[in-house]
Amino acid sequence: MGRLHSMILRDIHIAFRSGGAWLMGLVFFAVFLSLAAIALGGEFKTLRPLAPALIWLATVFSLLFSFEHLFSGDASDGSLEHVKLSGMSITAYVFAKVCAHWLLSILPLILALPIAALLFDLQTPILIGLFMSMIIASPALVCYGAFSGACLVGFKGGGFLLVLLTIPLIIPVLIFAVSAVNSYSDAGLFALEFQALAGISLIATAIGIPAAAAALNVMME
Amino acid sequence: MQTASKNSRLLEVCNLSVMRGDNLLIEDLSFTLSSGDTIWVAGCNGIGKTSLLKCIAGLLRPANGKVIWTGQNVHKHISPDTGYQGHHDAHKPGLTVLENLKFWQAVFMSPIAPELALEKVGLSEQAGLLAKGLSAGQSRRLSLARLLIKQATLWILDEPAAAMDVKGQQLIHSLLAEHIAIGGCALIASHTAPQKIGSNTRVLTLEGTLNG
Repeated sequence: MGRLHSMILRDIHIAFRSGGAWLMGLVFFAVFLSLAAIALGGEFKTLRPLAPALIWLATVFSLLFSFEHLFSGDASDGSLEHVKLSGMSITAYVFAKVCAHWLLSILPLILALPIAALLFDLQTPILIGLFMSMIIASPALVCYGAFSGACLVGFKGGGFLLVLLTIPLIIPVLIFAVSAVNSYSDAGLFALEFQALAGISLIATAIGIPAAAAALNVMME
Repeated sequence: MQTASKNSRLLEVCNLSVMRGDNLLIEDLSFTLSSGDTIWVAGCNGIGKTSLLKCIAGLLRPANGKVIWTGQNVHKHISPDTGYQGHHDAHKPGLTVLENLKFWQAVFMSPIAPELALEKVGLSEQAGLLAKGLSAGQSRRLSLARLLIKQATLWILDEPAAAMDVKGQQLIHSLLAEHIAIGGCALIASHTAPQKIGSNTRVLTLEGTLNG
């Protein structure tokens, strides 16, 4: 079994045995959307135009706090040192962690989208727009989050700093993603916003993963 | 594990200075380690044993000097031929003993069967147990099993006998003797009395001199 494959599987095994802690993001997502729907009066006419923004906000907030512990466990129990001494590049390690995090944190949200669509009575093009925007933008969310999480390994009260560090990076993603959902019915995947999201994700992946690896290397030394 | 002829120089520590924060812990330390050598690193708490071992492993950047492993500076190219046992055992409590070891086998790309390593350290019966159910001594044994799986030439052990009972200490000694006999070398920081392992055992006292 390859190294990357083993790392991803290990994180998934650990999450599945954590007593459901890995589903907290999904629970937060559901609670946020339900409360938002209630607070806004529950009228589909009012909720429908706000749904893409609310769903994207719920996604960002449910992910935000998950990055704090992305690397801290491996750093505190010494696993990271052994990974480094194995000759495996820390960049590959970060990539594996990011993939596992995507599977555990973002995939459940993507799978929950049809239920969210029912809550807001969304039409099919909007739902497809949400799917596509999440799939295209999620690498940016995870890579920026991984970078922030790596920078703050070992910091006490890192959660608050992580929010401060991640929010400015995520704001462009949020703006383009909400706009992309609304323009999907007109221009499909060729809408300018989808192209912008794809570009952001590409840059975030190309820069975020090596930057997170560099931060972890500095932290270890 | 790299094959090395007996007495071939493997590790060279040249004018090494190590800092922790603003404190200079070790200054201008030089020694060599050849195939079949063992060095016990002694010194009181806080003197810098762990920092020295981490620096030699390539995990900590030196303030000055260099560490050469088989001709390469470990701070430029980390050596995967180093087996390190630090203070932390690096086990995931939610995985079983065997799953933990299988993970490291994949990371080290080792041909050694985890079951065999567990048998060597006396943990075969605990293979299916979650790592969080291990005692501190058993957890140390599991990290020894990881060391065996890695098949590294240089063993860097930081307090390997911590939390170990007498049988555990004997196990460490026999594993070390076996490792040295097949041409490996070891650096060991320990508070227990240094034991002779192989034909060339030295003690490095960190205040500092290297006594033969």
